[in-house]
Amino acid sequence: MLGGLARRVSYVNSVRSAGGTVLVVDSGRLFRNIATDTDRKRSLARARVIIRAYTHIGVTAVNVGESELTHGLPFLRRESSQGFPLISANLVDPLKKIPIFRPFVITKAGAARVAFFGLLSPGTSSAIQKTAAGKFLVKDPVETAREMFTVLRAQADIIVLLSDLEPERERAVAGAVPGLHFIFGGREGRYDHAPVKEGQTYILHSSRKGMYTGNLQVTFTNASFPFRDDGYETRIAKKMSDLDHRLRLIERSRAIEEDQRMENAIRLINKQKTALKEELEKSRPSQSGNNRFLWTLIPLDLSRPEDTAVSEWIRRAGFEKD
Amino acid sequence: MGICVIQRNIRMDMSKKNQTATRMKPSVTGSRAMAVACVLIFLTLLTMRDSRAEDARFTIIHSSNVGGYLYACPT
Repeated sequence: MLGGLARRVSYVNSVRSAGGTVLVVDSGRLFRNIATDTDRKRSLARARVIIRAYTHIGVTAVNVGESELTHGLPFLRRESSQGFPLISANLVDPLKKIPIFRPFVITKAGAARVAFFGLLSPGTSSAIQKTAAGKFLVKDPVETAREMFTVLRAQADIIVLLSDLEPERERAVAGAVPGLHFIFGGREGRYDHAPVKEGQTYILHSSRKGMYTGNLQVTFTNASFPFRDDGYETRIAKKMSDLDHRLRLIERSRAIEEDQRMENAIRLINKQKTALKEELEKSRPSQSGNNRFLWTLIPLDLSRPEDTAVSEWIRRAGFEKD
Repeated sequence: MGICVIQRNIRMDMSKKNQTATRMKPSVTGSRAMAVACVLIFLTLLTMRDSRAEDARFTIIHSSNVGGYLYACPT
């Protein structure tokens, strides 16, 4: 068992209590998809509990994802006007052609100015298209990302996309906007323990159903340098150690009985080790500057305490364990 | 280098002790300008060192695809 809203809040509070600036963001699909729910009132009450908890932890930005849209624009507009920081750069009013929510948020993190902007996939489900037909338009994400980058690069040191896009669209955005530093995604709920690098942009996903939370520790010195992944060498070392372990097992078996397949396996492992060493060497010269980060996926396991206030809100709202 | 220039100007000032006040004036002004320049360079270097020391260190906590789950769910 992993996850839970009260456990997530408790985790954020524990990181905050350790000191330093902590920003909390969500890429979208924070709420349940309620397009087919019959008890709409109860579904909205569930969303309100989440909004209350995220407001409690001082969330910086929440991208409007597909499941948020199933709650209807009036609900989202009301929550946004009451301070819930919903953002979307490509969800626009069909008549005025302007964003329905704030397109981006810029916040200070120590000496760095960090900008978050949000994008929604144009491939929204037919259920949403049906209920909200004519109420919004979803602009092309690549084109919008380019526009956002032009606006934000003068105002921020670090630019982050909160994405409810498909992985191929995320890669397209990273390719089209080379100055983008990070893409926080997760539409498909992938468990990616390591960042995916596309050009100079790092794409990060934090699994699904709230089981994990992504923790990005950033050290920023100068906007003109690319970021370096501090976890990269550790991961290569781990891969090397796994290969060495396999090699030892095969060699032990070979000592008992000679086999051509074992010879082939040893050759293959040694080839993989050489490739890893080359990869590591190749990455070193490009890792210039002092901008760096460390990405960790934190499992919200049952050993973590729950925030008592949030547990009480959930209980009072009448939501039993589901 | 700036300090050397100031010293040279001061030496020049000393050698011109017997000259008229009108002729000495530009030299004194030059010394002052050089001193101000030195202070400015020093301050600039100090600021550069400070900004380098002031790296921004912060944490971003991210969630995605939570899907409205309020409780822990089976992995």
